Amino acid sequence: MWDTFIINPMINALLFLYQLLGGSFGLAIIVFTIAIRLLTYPLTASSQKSMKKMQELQSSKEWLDMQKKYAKDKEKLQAEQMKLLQSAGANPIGGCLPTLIQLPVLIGLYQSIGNAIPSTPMQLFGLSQRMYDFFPSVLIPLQKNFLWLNLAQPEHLLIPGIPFAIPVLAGLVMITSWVSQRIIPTMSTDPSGGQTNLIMNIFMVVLITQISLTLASGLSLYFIVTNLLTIVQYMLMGKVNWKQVFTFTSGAPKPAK
Amino acid sequence: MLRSDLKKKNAFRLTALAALGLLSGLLTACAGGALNLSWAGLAVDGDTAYLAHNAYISAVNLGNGQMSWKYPAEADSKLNFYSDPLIDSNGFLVAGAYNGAVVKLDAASGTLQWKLEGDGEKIIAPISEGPDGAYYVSSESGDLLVIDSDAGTIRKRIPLGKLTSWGPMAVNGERIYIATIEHKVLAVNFETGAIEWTADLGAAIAGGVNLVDGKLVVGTFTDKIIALDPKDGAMVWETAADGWVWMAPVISGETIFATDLGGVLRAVKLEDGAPVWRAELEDAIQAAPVIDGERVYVGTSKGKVRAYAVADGIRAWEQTVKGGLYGRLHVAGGKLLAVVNGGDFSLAAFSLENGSTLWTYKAP
Repeated sequence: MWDTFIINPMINALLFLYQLLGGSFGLAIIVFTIAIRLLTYPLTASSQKSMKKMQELQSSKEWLDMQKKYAKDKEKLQAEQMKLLQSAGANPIGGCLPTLIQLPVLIGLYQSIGNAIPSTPMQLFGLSQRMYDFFPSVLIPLQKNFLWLNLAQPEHLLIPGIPFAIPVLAGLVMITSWVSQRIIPTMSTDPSGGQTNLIMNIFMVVLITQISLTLASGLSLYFIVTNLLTIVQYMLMGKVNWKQVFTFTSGAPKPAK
Repeated sequence: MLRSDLKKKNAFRLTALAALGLLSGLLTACAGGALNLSWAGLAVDGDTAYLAHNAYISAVNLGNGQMSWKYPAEADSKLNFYSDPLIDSNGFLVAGAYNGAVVKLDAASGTLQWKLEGDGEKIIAPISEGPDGAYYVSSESGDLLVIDSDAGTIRKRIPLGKLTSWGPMAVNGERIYIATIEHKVLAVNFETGAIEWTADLGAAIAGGVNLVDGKLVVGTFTDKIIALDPKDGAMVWETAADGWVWMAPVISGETIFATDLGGVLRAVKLEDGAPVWRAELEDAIQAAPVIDGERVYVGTSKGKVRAYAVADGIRAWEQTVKGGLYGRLHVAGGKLLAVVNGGDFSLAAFSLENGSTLWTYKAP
């Protein structure tokens, strides 16, 4: 079911783009990532709209007054905050659900790229079972080179004069992952929530960087493109929190004293 | 009201963390999947089968399916074996690994004779022994390495123009023939190392090449079985299959037997490629068939094993195992041997008479 409706169509879309773009798998990954982002834009926009509403509420006088008033009674503060959110029609989960719905697409894309660049007989056999019949088999073997990369292998750049290989792509993945997550204004309603966000940001950056270091560089290319798109999207919206990018603080509003 | 509000708020954080956990779990699972990179390589000599799978090469007694030895004693994370090992003319086992290393072992005991670290590029194709006694290794580097069989050092490096081979090479007194994934078949002169001719077949060739009676036979990913003249690479004939022909066709007498991913086993004449008979097995067939006496044996990627009469393609028996059959089937010690991937075991021995499972072996 997952393979038939998610992975296989994605793999074949990648092959279609590969054919269309003159046999460049790197370009196919970039164009495909952009296309997927455009297709899922309504969900992203809905998520961002909900987050924006939350942030407006959090900076309102009413919210700040409430923090002062119930500074010593956390439970009461949270209950009152929830009431305010409800009366304003803001749903704390509203920003999360569209992201959750996108998760299968993101996971599918990740798996598709991994499956579409075979580097072993078993992987190629797997691809043969997923390719639609109308694709000419003369496409095989797919050209895996893009710029200095072999898209089927983890990337380590060897520079003359330097005795060790440098994982340039993993570095770019780490930087863009951090920036793309930290530029998003925090939506937490209290400092502990902001702390949770910070931990999640660090966890995700470490995880994605680790994946980039060990798996095919085609996946790293996907991570970089998708991170850059997120950054551009938020910049266009004018809602970038650059201050948060360069700090390790939670970014949550400080409680009133 | 208060309680439900708090629950909603916490639900958000919990959902977000659960989503991250799910994502990391799935991504990590995918990364873990890469550990089993391919199906096992298999070679048979006398009463022993040699299985190259993941971190180990193991020797399996054909009589009872028990392991006699394994190499290395402890797994080395950099060393993964998948190509069919070579049993050379002196009875030594030689195998290439995915990190480019080549090892030579005493086939009786598994004792290491030497280990060549290689150039770090995958070795997928089985290693061949030349008439000069040297080992010929095609790696993903695109070079053909000529290795001194005694010293374990690289004697010569023959550039193949970044072409790589995944299947067995064919050897005669003058040349070594190499079929490549990049659509070309090459003939390399043993003495000079020169590429004497190149034939572009316009399709990937994954399963190597077979040489018999003045013909080189290959299968291609454009659903063709092609016979070439070994002297100059000129096409002698070609015939259509029902899907990608992964493994090089197998030759017995005047007949060629070929399998394809379309699920067909076919017999064609060696002389001109004219069809003799065909049998449909419904599932993709990656594995090469094996012929023994009056029967031809074949296995599919969904675990179906069948025996057919060589003469007319009448089915003798069918057996099914969990997993898929890959690589090359063998007949040895009065048994049919098949590499199984994705099941509960790595190697299975079947009765030639009725296909019943005699023993199974799970690689370490």
